[in-house]
Amino acid sequence: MRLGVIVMVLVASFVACGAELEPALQFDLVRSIELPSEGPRSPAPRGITLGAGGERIVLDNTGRILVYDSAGRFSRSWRMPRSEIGNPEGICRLRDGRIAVADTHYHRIIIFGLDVREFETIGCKGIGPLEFIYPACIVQGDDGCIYVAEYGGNDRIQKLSETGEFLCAFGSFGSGLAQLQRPSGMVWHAGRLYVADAMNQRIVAFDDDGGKVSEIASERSGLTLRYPYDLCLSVDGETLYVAEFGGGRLTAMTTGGHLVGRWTGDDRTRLRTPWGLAVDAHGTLMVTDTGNHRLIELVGGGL
Amino acid sequence: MNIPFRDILWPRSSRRATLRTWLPWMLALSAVAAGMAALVLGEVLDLVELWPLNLFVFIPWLWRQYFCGPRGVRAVVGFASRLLLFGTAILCLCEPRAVRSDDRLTVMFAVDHSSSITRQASDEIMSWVVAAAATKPERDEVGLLFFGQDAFVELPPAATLPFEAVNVDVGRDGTDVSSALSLGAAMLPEGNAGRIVLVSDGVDTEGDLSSVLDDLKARGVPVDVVPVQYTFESEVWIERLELPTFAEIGRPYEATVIVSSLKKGDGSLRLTQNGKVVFEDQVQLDAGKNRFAIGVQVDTAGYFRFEVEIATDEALDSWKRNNRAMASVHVRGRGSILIVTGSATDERAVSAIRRSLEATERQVVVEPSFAVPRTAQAILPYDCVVLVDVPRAELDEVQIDALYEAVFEDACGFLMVGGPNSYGPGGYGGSKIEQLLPVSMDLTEKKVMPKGALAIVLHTCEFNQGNTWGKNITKRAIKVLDPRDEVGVLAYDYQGADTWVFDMAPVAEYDRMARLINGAQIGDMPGFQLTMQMGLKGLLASDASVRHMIIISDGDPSPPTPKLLQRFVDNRVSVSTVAVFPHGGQDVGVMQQLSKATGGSYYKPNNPNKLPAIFVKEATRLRRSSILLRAFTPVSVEPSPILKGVDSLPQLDGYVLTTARPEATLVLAHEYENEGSVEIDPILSTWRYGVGASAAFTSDLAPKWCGEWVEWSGYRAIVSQMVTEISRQQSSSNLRAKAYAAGSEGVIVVEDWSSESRLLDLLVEVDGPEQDDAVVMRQVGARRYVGRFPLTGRGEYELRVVGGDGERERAHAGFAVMYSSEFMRFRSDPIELERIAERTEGRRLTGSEKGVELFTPDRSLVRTSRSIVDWVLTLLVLWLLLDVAFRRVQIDFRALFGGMRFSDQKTVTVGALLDAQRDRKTVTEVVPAPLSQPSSSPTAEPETAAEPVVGAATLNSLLAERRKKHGSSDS
Repeated sequence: MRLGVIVMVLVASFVACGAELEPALQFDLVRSIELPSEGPRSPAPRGITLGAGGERIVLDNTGRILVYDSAGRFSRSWRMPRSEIGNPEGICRLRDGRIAVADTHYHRIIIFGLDVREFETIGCKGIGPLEFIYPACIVQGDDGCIYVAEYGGNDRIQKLSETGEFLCAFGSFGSGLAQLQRPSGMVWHAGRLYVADAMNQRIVAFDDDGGKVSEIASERSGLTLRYPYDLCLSVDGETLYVAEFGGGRLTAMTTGGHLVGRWTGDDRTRLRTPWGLAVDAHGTLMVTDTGNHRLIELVGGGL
Repeated sequence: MNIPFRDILWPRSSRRATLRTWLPWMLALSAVAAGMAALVLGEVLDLVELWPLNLFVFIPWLWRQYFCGPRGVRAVVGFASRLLLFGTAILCLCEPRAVRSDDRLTVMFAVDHSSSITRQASDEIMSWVVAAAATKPERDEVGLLFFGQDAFVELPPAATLPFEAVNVDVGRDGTDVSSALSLGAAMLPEGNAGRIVLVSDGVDTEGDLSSVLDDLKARGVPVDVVPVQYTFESEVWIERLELPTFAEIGRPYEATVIVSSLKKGDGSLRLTQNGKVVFEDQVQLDAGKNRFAIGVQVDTAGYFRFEVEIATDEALDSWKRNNRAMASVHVRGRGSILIVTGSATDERAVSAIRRSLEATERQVVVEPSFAVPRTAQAILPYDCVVLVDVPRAELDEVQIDALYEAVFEDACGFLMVGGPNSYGPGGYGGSKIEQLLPVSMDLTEKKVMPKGALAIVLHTCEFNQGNTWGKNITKRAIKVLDPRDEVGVLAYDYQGADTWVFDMAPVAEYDRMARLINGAQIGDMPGFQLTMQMGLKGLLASDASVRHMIIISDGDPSPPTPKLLQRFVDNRVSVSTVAVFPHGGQDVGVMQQLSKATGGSYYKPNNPNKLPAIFVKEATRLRRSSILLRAFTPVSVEPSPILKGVDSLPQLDGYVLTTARPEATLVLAHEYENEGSVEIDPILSTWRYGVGASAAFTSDLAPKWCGEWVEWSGYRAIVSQMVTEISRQQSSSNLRAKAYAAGSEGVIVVEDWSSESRLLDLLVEVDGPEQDDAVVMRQVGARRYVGRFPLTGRGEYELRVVGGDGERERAHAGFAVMYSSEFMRFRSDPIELERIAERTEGRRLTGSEKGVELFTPDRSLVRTSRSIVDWVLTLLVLWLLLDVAFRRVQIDFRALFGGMRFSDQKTVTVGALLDAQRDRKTVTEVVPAPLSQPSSSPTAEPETAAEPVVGAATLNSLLAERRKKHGSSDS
């Protein structure tokens, strides 16, 4: 009898602790932002980056680059030079204010100048230096170097100088430690490049020259991710937020890969194939809720 | 236990009732009553029944129970617990419902997608709908449906409207506003206020709108209307093309064309006969109807299709689709045989068959599969159709239907000659062709027949109605397979990631599979790896001998790893890939690589119409195993005129495995021993089907499998006798029929040219584009009968007349409706739309409103409630258990966690129990029986002992047992 009661207490404690294994992220405000329609289509957002003054710069699946102010009001847009074949997936605001876009289906990088009517093109289809197959993501490190992730059998990361010269490439197609399958999102922090390795369902971190690589989060490490598509770092640089395309959720983890919490939304705000992710200086998270064709802003709280 | 009834009703007490004893229950009663009143008045709770509240009069009894019982904290809490229990029971009887009030609004857009709405208008409508949805209040919901002849939901109500393209398959040849409004109302969630926004030209061609409007008004669902306005000042259309009822070879006739115009003008009129221009000239058109007579003549027997078309200036004509009409004439003559060849047909077989048939009186016509007539009437000139190793993928469904009708209804003969592309390997399993053959492709009974396994991977198809296409062709591919074959479908689900739409399962479960395919959500797959991995695992788990995978994709998912591809190769699982709209045609490398590495095929169709044929062809890969290549001599099983003059048969080298139908005449077969039993495979069999007949020859009649046969002197005889046996026998008929379209009706006129005066009982069947129908005929004059029937849409209508004396006489007629009734209306009908808005208290909108205007701000709260009886009942049961436990069980926590002091505490607990027992005895004034009352007999009936005695004895024996136990533990 006594033993039974103790076992029951232990089981109850275990269950209670189990509920704590995946804590939910809480936010003070969840805001939904619709995209301006494109003719008879309701476009879906993909990549997102932050512009000057907290602007949100969003790529959509009709080949547009949309700019919202920090309050979420649509302010302006422009188009990619071409988008008949397919639409771009990754976008990054460079340190000098230019906007770099991974023009995925044209296998090149487009860099828009401060006057967006002017742009330069880097690369063409191929597997050599400064050649790309499906570039999907582009980021810039604090040292100015630009990193471009590709997939389509040529899954690797090319490191370019701030002026666009090829420096090195690392990673290859596969599921080994230094291998990638559809690297869809990246974030640079303190000399390390965190990569959302979507098809391998994990987050890996490379030294920014690719010399050293470690697996941060994966099924093996006890943190299940379903098609992580993008990631960003909290303002204090200690928490990684991951948009899970397959899981339809947002996952927060430490840079060491320990789960902090998860968020999926309620009936009204439930995510559907979230693609891109960004965080502003106030800690507001922005998720491109691609399946629902909207942006979701998560304000305050988080942990 | 003898308790006086009065004491049960109102227990006696030695205590005095004071404010202190009254207060707890007064407070509890007030709290319960106030709580319930607050919930009801605050519209949180709704009570369906109020009479159970009267049961609160029994609360004083509860209090009396408490007042007369033991004292102390336990007693007070016990009383409170019972009060709560009682209150919960009363609440349960009141059938409570939780109330939810919300001012959220759901707007369902019902958008007209019929042919009368132009592409430009449709784009403008959807631009407005999408923009309005993007600017709606955040909490509101929006949904979208399209309608034409029928209505389908494109996007169910949700917080956003992620519209990309029309994906539903709406019949565009009509407008049924009533079905759109019914569906729209059904999609509105119960808890929200709802509106329907109807965007249409108001031209309603089908359905009962009035009753639906009454229903919407009763439900309080307003319909806002957005008229799509147009008025044609000028329009030209061909109303009819009339041809003679009966034609003879070489005699001139008149083809009459009725052309209508809203304005005076001119145009170019052109008449073609079987695609060849026989008349073309400029004609003057007056406003109204214009009649033109054109002389025509037919010089041979056969089926003649006449098409007339008028071309005018843009200024005179708005719609081009109503500028054509078609009619046909069947000229009787000597019967013909149609030999149909496929792309892989052995020419030597065709030559050999042709030579054999030319010896008969019939004319022989050889045509490729694409030239097979598309109507049964067009097959009338042929007495027999011979398919020589033609795969099903080379015939479309319309042609197959026409062949089926020709045999079943029009007595045409049908012969299928075998080969690698015929029967099961040709993909005829489950088709109408299989139905009319004397053999089945179901090889379930075959003992050594290997089965196949197929995994189909569906990636989202990014073209108009792409996912609908994907689903339909998948179903068609599955139908081709043998019931024993296994199939599974994988897709990237928006919520569940890479997932099986259904696991590998026998094709016999087709109905379940079709339901799952219809309901599947096909999303944008990030990569092939996991899906292919799952597919391979499923295929390997199957005991099939042939395993295959088909992937349909736009080509941009991440490729699988070489290691996974190698596993496909190692396990001999082939992968065929179909690249559909692969991002400008460039993203095909991965798909090509996949098929090349695994020995599959790669396809890049430039037209989705080619997809079904590809899928069917791929699915038939599994059926290659049903070809038996073995030298043998067929044996004659049943006597048949086909074998007339044939004494002995030469050897055959191969055939396609089939199963003879029990009703068929098995003429030739291959008999062999297999696993101790005798297998009989049909080589030649015949049967009658409908009013026609068919034959199945499962070998190829070519040098490949019939090398000795082709050289054999009896070859010609057996082939010609085979065809003669099943061919239609020409018979004379005195019936002549003519049919034409008149507005929304079809008219058939039958004339009896018999030399004798007679009253006919005519049976007329209509084979229309949507459905088949029977026509009631009415005699309107001497030897003249007329019948009318509703037209069911655009397409060809074939009519068969059967009647006469003795031997049934037959006649055929037909016409085509070249354009839907949508193109017969030249102005929109905003008045009809306004009537809809008025009857449902909706608004007339302009189509320029923004979301905030559309989602009306003067909204009202909607109260909905749902029963919570189950929850209250559960609470009641749980509380009852707790109540009993609370009063009956006493846990001594010090004993539980006290370790070595356990025994001391136990004694105290038992002492308390005895005190409680003593108290109870005092209150109920029951004298217990002696503690150890011996039973008179071990077998005595329990009923003989007084119940309290047994209870007391049990308690005492338990206490004694415990004391004994404690004593031993103490020691």
